[in-house]
Amino acid sequence: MQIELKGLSFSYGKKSPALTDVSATVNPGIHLLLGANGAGKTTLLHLIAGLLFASEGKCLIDGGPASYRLPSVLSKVFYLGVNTNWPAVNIKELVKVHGQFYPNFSADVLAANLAEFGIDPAMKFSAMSMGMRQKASVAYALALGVRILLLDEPATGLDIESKQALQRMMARCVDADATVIVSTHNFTDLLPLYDSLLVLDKGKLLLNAPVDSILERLAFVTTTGVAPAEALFTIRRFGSLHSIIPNTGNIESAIDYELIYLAIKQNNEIL
Amino acid sequence: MKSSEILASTDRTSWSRIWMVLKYLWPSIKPMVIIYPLLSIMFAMLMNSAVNHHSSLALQLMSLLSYVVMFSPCFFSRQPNNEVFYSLPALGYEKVSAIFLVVLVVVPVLLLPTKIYGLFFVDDSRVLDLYSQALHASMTPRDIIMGLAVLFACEGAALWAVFAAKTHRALKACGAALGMMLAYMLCCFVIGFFTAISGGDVAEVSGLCNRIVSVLACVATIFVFYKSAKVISRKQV
Repeated sequence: MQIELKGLSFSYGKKSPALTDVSATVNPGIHLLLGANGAGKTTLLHLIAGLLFASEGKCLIDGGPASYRLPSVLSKVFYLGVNTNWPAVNIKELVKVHGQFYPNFSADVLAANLAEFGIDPAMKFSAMSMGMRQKASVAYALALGVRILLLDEPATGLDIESKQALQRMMARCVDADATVIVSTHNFTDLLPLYDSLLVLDKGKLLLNAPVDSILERLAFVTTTGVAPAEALFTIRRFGSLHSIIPNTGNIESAIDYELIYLAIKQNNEIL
Repeated sequence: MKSSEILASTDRTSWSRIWMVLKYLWPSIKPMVIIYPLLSIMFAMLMNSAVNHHSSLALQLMSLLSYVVMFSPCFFSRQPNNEVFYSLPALGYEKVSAIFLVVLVVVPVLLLPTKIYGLFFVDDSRVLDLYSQALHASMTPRDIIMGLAVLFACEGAALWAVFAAKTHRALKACGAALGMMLAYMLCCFVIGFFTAISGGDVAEVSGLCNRIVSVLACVATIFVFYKSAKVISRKQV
């Protein structure tokens, strides 16, 4: 399902714009949203989820404005923040009171997800640690079967095994026509899953590009001595030089999100 | 197509969705449904024992029930924030209807046991006298409307505060209800004072005072419930 952002602006009060003229089309797939603290990531997710209303521009979900909060739109979207306060004491009760609103909610998917995380659905949220609560929340959100899932720091507090389990779960639960936006600072948590990259800086969208198209145009290389002469951007990390060079000769390399993020922030014309 | 899919695809007001919102609210209001009837019975029993020695105290206990109604919206503050509530796939009207149904119908019904207990199970003519006195005192339609308007204005103010506030929601709701009560008392005092110094007989002055306060209380009730409806249906997180 497609998300269309048309000249989206939002500000908290008159003097603090959080987003300025954001325009983009977000197609189905798993998208990584990167940005510094206060760049406007959570604001953007809230606008898509209809939890905030744009001061200018609009956000369309499958053609319908998110800000109208219509059931036909909201039943396809779910925003999962950090430390979500659920209206129930445990997952079992949550399914009864909240899951009923989502027609594609699957009890089987939820059971499989919870089993993978080793969480008892009858366990009270109040008895769970922060990490366990986050696992239960992500497992539940993925079982809702929504077409647009907005995850804000989904792997916060998760241990190494749980992060691997989350990767498997996302690969299993996210359909080809579903759109997932993952806002995180720990992009390595779900590294192999991302289809595209969005970069926000000071409320402006600097980049919205599929990973494949980035790798078609750019290559990421590591050298020990000097940086390649054609390097567009270079940083020193643990004694090696990591550079971005134009991909003129079909060089196969893996995307370095940290490098591309820093490069885009410095010069968003790099692509 | 499943019925839930049909429901999710329609944007027209639906009773099923109002029922679903009520089910969503159930974990928040569950303690209220258990506590309020018990509290109501306890009040009735206290009143029964107080009536032998302090009949004025017994009447005060009856008025305590009004405070229970006033502060009932505090139960909606059990979740620290309402992010999940606002993202529920239901129309704003449906959410408002479900919440108004709780505060305007469910809460008064839950507190009925005091009246039932007092009227049918207390074998004491003095208690019955108290009830009839209290009923007599507020028998005129205007007094009934004013009493209800003041009560619902305070309850509505608490409801507005609980949904509008982002932090310390229960505290702010209590503050709003008490603030409204204080405003009502201040209003009575000011109107009474100015009407008294302007002359006229006591009955006339008190009648005029009641009329003005009734109108103000009704306007305040409509205003706070309108603001509550707006904040429940269109609040930004």
